[in-house]
Amino acid sequence: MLIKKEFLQVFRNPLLWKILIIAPLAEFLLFPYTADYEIKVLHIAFIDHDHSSTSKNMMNEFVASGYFISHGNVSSKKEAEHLMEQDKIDFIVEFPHDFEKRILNRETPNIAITANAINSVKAGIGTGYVQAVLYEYLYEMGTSLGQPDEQANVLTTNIYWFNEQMNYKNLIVPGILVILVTLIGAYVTALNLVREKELGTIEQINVTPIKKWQFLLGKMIPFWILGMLEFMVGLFLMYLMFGITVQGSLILLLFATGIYLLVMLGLGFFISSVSENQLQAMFIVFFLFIVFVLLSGLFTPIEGMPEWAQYLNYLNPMSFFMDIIKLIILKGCNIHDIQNQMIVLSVMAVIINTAAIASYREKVN
Amino acid sequence: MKELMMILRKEFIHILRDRITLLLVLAMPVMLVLLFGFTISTEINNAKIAVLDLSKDSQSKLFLNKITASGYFQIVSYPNSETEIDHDFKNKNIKLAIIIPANFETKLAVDKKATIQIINDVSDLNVASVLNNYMRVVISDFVNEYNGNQSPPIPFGMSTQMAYNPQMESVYMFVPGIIALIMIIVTALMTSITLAREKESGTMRMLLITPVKKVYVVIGKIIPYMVLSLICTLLILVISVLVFQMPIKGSIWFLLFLCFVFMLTSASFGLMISAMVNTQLDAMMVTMMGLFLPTVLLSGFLFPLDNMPYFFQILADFFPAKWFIIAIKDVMIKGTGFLGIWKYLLILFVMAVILISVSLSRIDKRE
Repeated sequence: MLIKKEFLQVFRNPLLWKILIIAPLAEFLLFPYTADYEIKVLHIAFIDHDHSSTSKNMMNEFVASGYFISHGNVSSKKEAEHLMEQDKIDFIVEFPHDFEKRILNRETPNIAITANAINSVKAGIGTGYVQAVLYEYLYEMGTSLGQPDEQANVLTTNIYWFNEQMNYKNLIVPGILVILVTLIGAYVTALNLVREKELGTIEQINVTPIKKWQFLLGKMIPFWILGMLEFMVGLFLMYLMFGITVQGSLILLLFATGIYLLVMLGLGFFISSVSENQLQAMFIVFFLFIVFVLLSGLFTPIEGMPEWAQYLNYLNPMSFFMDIIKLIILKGCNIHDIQNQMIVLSVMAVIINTAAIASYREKVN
Repeated sequence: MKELMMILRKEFIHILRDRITLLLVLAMPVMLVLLFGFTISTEINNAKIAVLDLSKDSQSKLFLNKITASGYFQIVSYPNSETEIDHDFKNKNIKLAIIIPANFETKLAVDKKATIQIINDVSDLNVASVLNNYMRVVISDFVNEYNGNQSPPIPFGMSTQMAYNPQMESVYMFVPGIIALIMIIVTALMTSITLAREKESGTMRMLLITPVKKVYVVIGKIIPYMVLSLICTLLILVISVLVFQMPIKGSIWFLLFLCFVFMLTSASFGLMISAMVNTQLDAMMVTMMGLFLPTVLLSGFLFPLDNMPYFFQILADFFPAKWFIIAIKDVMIKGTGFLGIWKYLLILFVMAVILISVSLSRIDKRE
């Protein structure tokens, strides 16, 4: 009975259909093209006091590497700094006077690199690129100056796994699936329930003999189905738009998503029970959502975070689900590979839903 | 004027009465600055790796010691085959694996050449490239040491200077963006929601038929949230200066003026949205999808605009955050004055004027 009422209510709401179709489409159209953390383009200017063939070759090498767009030669440091101040360039590379001559005289002249470090990530990774270009040169020149035969050397070959095309979208797109499911689960559920609270319809249900868990279940099932539908729409779009296929078992993926949705729905219920109006509910969900996303490692590596943040991640359901999604979709893992994450999520689901029911009960008494 | 004061008082009481929301609104900027400041870094320590050592001789042991001593890596597994490496990637959360060839020691001594294979997990490209660089550094250190530090003469040196941000603090980049986000949440989102709430409960109509001028109603709605977002902005500035030692090179009054103009723009976005929708839920959805998300993605504070397709770069020009972020960065970090950023101020101001006049005329038509 109750479930039927909820179904009708949920699926009659036109906004919901908008969310179901438009939200995944919009996110897929926006995120993969814009949320690109990779540093591909660096603007560079040179100050060449040497004007020798060595410095010219080096400058060409920068452009040839494909990472740098040259703004050409500027005559003075001041001019270069002015360009940097206007954010036109990210790097200044300065070759000293008599650079070539001093190399031949073994005087080890210095190349001065200046990075625009307001964006520390870009400066850090970019400096790596600059040095890589110069090191290449350094090595070649060093061997031509020294005696290379005597020296042992270790070479490296690189092998790339789990994303052979090295496509950034393969990482971000599964991440969007996680965000979609989370938003549907927590956001829509919490807001929907608080709205009923504001309108007073929950009071009406409270006076009927329906038990709390029955009520929650009746609310939960339609939203759960909605979330699963959303996820499948997302999967389909992922294949259609980006050609990403699920490497592992599809059924396992859906099963994991089902459990994660239970956690998020429970969270949504819990929040709806503790908040008094829609504005509050929205802020609580929003607050948690941002913490979850930032800690989940979607945009920045978890390994780079301080230890306390890494421990905090053990409480973050999104981080576990992000793991599962990546493992199944990109690496083709089976149930044994992800059983730990699954157990954690299941425990979280039980705890949060029990808390939600208890909290609702308390509110009534 | 008296009417305006009355509306203002009513609105302030509304805000102060909802303690939880108020607390969350004030906690949000604090949390954002701390999270962004502490969690975002490209430096990786103790990444888990696996080593397939096919030679197990004294040189390969030395090499492994070198890896552990670097602090970048932590060897968590010694697989025996490539299948086992695959298993480790899936189970033990390793980020990279290396294969040391058989007879490593002999190869180094006799052939003067050995090849180490690096297996990168490129499902996360940025992590993979950072770790790959670390591994090469370790390898070249090892080679230098093996050769008795008699490396070939160094033809030239390099010195690197980090302009504007010598400590490489990530907050420098994020603080301007966080201020923009918070102002959008507080001014645009909350303004649009409270106006939508009045509509939902029918009190908007009552307000509009009172003799209070319509402009006063709207101004009275906007000002309290501007005050609130000003408090949030000050909170962000205080934390970034005290915790992360971020400098404020320009004039603080000019900075606040700039924030005020952006507030006006984002409040007028909120006004515009509330004129379009009828319920709080719709107001939230439209603000989130139409303003908040584009601010996160298209303002250039998280993701470089250079990387995006041309279409999105153009689209970014139509959202206020991009201009505000450029301007506030200049004022805070470089100490630019009015002459350097008047263009951006003008853009923000024109946006505000257009939006306010359009939405006021829309409210008119409803009557």
